[in-house]
Amino acid sequence: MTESLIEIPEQEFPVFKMMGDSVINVYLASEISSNINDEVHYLAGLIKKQNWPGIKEIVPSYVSLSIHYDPFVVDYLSVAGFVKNILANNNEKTNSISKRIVVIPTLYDGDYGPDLDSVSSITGLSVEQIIKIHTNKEYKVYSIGFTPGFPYLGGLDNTLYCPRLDSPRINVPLGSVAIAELQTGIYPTESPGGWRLIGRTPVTLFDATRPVPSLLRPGDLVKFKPMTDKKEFEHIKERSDKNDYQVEEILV
Amino acid sequence: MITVLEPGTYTTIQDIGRTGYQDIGVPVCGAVDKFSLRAANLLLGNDENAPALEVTIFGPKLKFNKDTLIAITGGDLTPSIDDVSVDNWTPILVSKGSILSFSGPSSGLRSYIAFAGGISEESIDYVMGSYSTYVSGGFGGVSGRKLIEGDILQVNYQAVTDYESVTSITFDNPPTFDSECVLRILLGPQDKSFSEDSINVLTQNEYILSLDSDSVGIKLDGELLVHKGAPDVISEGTAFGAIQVPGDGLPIILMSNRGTAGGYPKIATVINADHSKLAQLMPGNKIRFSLVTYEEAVEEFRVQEKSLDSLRGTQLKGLPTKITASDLLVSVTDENGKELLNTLNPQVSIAEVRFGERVEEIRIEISD
Repeated sequence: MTESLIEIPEQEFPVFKMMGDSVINVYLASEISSNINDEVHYLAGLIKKQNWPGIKEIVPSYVSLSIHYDPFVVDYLSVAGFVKNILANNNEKTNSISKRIVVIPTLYDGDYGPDLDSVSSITGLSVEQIIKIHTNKEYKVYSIGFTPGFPYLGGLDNTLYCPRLDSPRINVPLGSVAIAELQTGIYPTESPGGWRLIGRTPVTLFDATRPVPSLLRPGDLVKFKPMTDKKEFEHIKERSDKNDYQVEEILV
Repeated sequence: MITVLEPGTYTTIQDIGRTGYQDIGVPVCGAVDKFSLRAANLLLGNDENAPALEVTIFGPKLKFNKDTLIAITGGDLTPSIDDVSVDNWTPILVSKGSILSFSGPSSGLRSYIAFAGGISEESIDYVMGSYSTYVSGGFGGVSGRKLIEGDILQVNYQAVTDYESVTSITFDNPPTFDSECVLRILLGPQDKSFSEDSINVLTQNEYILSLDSDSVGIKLDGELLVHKGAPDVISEGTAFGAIQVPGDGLPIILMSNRGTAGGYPKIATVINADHSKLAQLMPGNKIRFSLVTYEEAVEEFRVQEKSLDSLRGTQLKGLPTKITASDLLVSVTDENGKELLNTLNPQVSIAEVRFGERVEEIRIEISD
């Protein structure tokens, strides 16, 4: 029985794979797309809502989700069957409830975005053009991971495509706004990192002591809003640090 | 009250870990060897998931300012009290004014020190459902960091009147940690991303733990594994024991402080029953991998879990006070609301419930 499940041809989704004897990975596709990512998060929500005994944690990602379970309560096959049932019984693959755009004020300058010059020479764009293109779009939060609260934002404009740094920085400053290939992201804490830094936000993305620690959640849209100068940055930073700054949210 | 005279190599507060926050990038953390942590707590009648000290390589020097019942489990880091060596895997009464110290590992890498009554929440931080210390995130445990000289831990002292009977409890067959071991694995999730020969390479060769190993991951040296295509997958969830293989072909086994997502193909995953062994490996130790089936893996895990039952039994008193049954769920709880038995869709109408030494049979009737 177990074998037949594993041997499902890879093009027929969902595909189930074991990750040891208490985790099952469910893959909905083999290519990243916004729709599939919506389906992944919607499915994760549906499973959580069922409150099925033995399901301990669900970790959604780009095209897959990892389900951690108690092998003495449920087994690999019953979890897979349970997920298949949910998929079969839901005509809706994503929820249609409104999304929110979270506005992230960002200061783009040479001090806070030390890679602006290299991005400029790689892309052939001026710093002004880079800022204009980066702030023009809304980016979708595909998943949160790497470090607590780090959003993987998809949908970067092709014209801003840059490879990762040849050697990663040991310490990327907190709040750095960065790009790599066709992704953009924000470093919630000081950490190592190989993405190119083009600016910095004073907003607190992750605070373990808040009731909701992560500012962003998968499915959110993020829009970067350029700030005028360091004075404005410091003003908002001071308020953020005191938990006295509310980011602008637009419901769509 | 316990005073940290010397912190040791790397001593942190850990419990069973932070479950439910991987979707916002928060690592599970918790004890690397969760089995040993739970055994230490059970030996003292604590909640098995209670926070305790995780001690790595060279242990701390601790001064006890009050009579305290403790238990030390995990690897043998040669503990002694006032320079007299003491046993692991059994409750020990430490007298007021005594000093616990360690002289270094004789087998295994990590020890757990639990305190009867548990460490008081006054001295440690509870963050997102766990007391465990996440050092790079800077939260949990003692101010989100490893212990330093001068730290003070408060203990929820329990009135223990009969020390003799308490300290006679031992864990009958404690695990042993050798410098050479076989880790049992299940293939996947990305075994198909490797050449057919790579599975043979992995299971027929010896790998040596590199110095570059910690509670995030264990790096191995040995025969190279070969990817069929590019050495990456779309970033996805991770698991304790997952064996990921980056472009250089050398396996890395993911541990308790692993990142919540990763993009390297994972050829196989070490089974739950061998996580404790895995957690106790030292740089230079030798590992072989052997394939098992899913059913064998779960059975081995069940056997390991059952070995804790003897300790669990000693804590139960009296008869269960609440028995409920439905067609899906049967649950039996004791007077403290602690679950004694819980099963899905029972096939049998007679259930066995253990109360210490005594085993009771309970007939379960399912009706509308």
